[in-house]
Amino acid sequence: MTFSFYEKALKDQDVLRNKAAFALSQILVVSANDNKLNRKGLSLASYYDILYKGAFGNYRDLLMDVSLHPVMGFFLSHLKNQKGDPDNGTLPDENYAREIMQLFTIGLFELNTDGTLRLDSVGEPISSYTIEDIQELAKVFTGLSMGAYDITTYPELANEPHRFNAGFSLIDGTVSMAMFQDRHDIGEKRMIDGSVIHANQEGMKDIEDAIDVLFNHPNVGPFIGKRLIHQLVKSNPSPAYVQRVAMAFNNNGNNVRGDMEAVFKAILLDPEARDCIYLEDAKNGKLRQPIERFTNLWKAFDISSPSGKFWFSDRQVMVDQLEQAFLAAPSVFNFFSPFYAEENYVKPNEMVSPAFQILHAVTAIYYLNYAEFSIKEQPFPNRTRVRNNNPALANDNNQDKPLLDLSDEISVLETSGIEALLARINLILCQGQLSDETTLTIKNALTALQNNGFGAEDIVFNALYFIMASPDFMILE
Amino acid sequence: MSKHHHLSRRKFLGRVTMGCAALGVTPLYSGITNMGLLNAAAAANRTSNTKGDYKGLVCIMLSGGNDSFNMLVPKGESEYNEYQSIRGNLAIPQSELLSINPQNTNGMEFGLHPSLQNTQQMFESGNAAFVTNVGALLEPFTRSSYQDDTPLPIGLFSHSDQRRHWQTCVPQNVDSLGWGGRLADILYTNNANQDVSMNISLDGVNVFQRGNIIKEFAIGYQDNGSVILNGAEENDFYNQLKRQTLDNLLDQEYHNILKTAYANTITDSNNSSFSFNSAIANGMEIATEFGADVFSQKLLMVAKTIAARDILGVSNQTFFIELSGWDTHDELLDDHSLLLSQLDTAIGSFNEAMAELGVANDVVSFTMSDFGRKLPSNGDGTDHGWGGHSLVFGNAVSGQKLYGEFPDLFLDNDLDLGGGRIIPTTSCDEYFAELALWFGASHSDLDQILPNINNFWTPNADGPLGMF
Repeated sequence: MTFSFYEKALKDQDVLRNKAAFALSQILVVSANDNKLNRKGLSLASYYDILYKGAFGNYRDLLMDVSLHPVMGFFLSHLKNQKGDPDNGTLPDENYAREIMQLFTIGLFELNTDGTLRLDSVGEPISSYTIEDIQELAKVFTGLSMGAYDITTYPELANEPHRFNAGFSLIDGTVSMAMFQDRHDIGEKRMIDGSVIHANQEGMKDIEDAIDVLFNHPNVGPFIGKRLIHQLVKSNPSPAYVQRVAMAFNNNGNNVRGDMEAVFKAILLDPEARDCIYLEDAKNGKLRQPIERFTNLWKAFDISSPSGKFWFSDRQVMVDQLEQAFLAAPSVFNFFSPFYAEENYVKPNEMVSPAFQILHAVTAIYYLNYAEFSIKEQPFPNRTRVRNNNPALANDNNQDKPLLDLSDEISVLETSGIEALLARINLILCQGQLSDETTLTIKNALTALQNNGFGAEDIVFNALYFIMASPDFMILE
Repeated sequence: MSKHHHLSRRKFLGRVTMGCAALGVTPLYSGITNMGLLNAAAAANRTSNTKGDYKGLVCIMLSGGNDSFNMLVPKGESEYNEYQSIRGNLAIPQSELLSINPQNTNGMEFGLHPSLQNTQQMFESGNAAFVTNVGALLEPFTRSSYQDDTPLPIGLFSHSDQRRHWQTCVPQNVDSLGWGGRLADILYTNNANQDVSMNISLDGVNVFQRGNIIKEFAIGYQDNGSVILNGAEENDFYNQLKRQTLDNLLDQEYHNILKTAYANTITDSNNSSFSFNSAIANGMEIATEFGADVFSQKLLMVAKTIAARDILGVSNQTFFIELSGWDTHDELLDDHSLLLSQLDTAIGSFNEAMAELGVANDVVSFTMSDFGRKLPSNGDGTDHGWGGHSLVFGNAVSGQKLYGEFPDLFLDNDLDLGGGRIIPTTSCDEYFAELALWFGASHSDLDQILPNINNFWTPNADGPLGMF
């Protein structure tokens, strides 16, 4: 799964779609941290395809598609969730009902269009839903189970009848879940807006109706809009910016709600995302996430391998040491909370800094070391490592070895010197945001290296390393 | 902000200063530059802790919501039948329960989940106890409270909120500091050396250990715990230049607040990690065998850290360690068995290691979890509840006891909030006040550490539960 992410992220010309899908994967979260899902690479890839293909579609379709995807069904346990049984005292599983509201659509509290909390008459936030609402919605998400058997792995199942209780390992994790009406709670369900889903409907119709209710809740625009701004632009958007994005969600200009193309346009073309005046704002920017730091480096310097493969196998290292790997969050609450605020500087300024939740003594220093290793040794952990002990695959090893192309940088250094080198890297890796002071510090270091006989390649390596360690790179503005 | 900023930028090369890494103020080894040069000097200047009254408090967070109604089960005929009837297909067979003989339950019999063999042994030998039906509360709560204005914890039954409440004990707020942090704010001056925070986290950033002055210091479970900068101990031309350049980049004045926060985090991390790494490298080896799984290895690292307590110069430490995967909405029986078995094996080794280090009386470990789960099955698992049972162990604990009330396990009983969500009868505050008092807090400190404690307990000599 990680392989295909990097293949896409590094080769795809559609950079924006990749960024959008990656951002969505941190809202509509599933995780390969669950071992049973980790072994379902194709299924996870199919889940990511929903986000990738649907990134600029309609959010309602995304909600429906992820709700019915077997990976989500397994991850949040509405796969094989069945109606309550009064005789045995069982009740429908509430997991998906809770998280689709708390994390995928409306959040815990009612919001104004600008993303700020609505307050009641005594100044308290207003809960968006109650425990009873969760119990009612849980009844909606009953009856879903396998859509198809995995007949590639188990051809003998080709003609078997579909079973509600089929084991997860037997099912095709790329085919949407199907409704088993006899396991569905056909009673009446009361929705959060007071509307009622009538008894005796088809289960799928119940789900469509419930998703309509959630999708049309006024919180969705500001809730999802703000999370996407966090992912793509900045950690502390003004309420006015959130409002502009939420309004694009509410209406794309053609009376269509949930048009994500309009939402991403509103996010990325907003003055607050583009105008240089915001560089003056001390609260501007966001911490680049671990995955972003390395994909930014690779993209900037045209990473390639003789075989053309980017089958990076560093998932566990990334999880352990950097606390972020593709589709590997610790839980549906993602790698970090949107409300996290670093204590010493961020919280006192009443700001948030979500990705700082995974920047601490282990991940901060490991990042510096890993960046150095990656730049200077370039041993990006391709499949190569996995195959090291297999002589038969020795050729593949070399064929898979990825390298950055730094030839242009070396030539700039040799022809025009250190300042020109830094100016070039500043432009292609840092959007021109290295300050004069940062540039001077690094220039002095590189000059000292040059004076002590370090070669051109070493100078370029160290230029990249110091830049990737610098606050000007790490905080993306 | 400016205060931290300027202090953290000041250099104290070669001076022995009482600093505070936890504050973001790291004077002893300031900056990355002189790490290698200062190493020997620092070790020579450090006075080891001679008080000898070490106390370690190990918080084990069972993330996801431990179904503790299957961990500790009533075994007597009528109570077991009640349990079996509500749990249905999820009930542990009576014959498989591991017998325990609590000394304070008026003859009511109990058994443990069959995976908990080490726990059974610790309990029976008087070194472990359970706190029963405990949960996050603002004030005592009953079924009728639900109808009146009695305040509820924010986000009841939600993972993120409930897990935070256990760590803050301020369930009326979403942005409180942790009680372990507030505890450390009071006690950190017991520690002769402040290079490394007294709150050590094996699982990164957490709320529990975050105080006003002291916050968590994160370590890993491999090697010497801390990651140190490549070449940090080398003093050749290149590595000196590299450290100086990083220092220069991080020492700049940044207008942007996030850049300042980033620079500060890196500098702090580097300083503390360097001290910690060398302490563990010079600490005692642990002979006790631990499992190869990550949770066991994390507890082994806790043991190594405790073994290095004199080198670190500390007499009080808290630890935070997480074991995830407890959100058993489905496949409860299998998954819960595996998790409890993993927990039991690791704490068995840890307990042995504490004896090996001679600190069996000085280290107390305890579990917290998001919430207990609902009593009835959802078919294959259980959903989010409220009250549940916690495990406390260590020789200091007055063990072989259940603290708090054990709830009835039938639907619609007086503690059932609806659907088998059990209202806690003991608050986290009472449970944690016991731990805080044992750890060295005074009665008068409790208001600061656990601001809601007075809603549950009027100070007396015995402590809220009489656990120590």
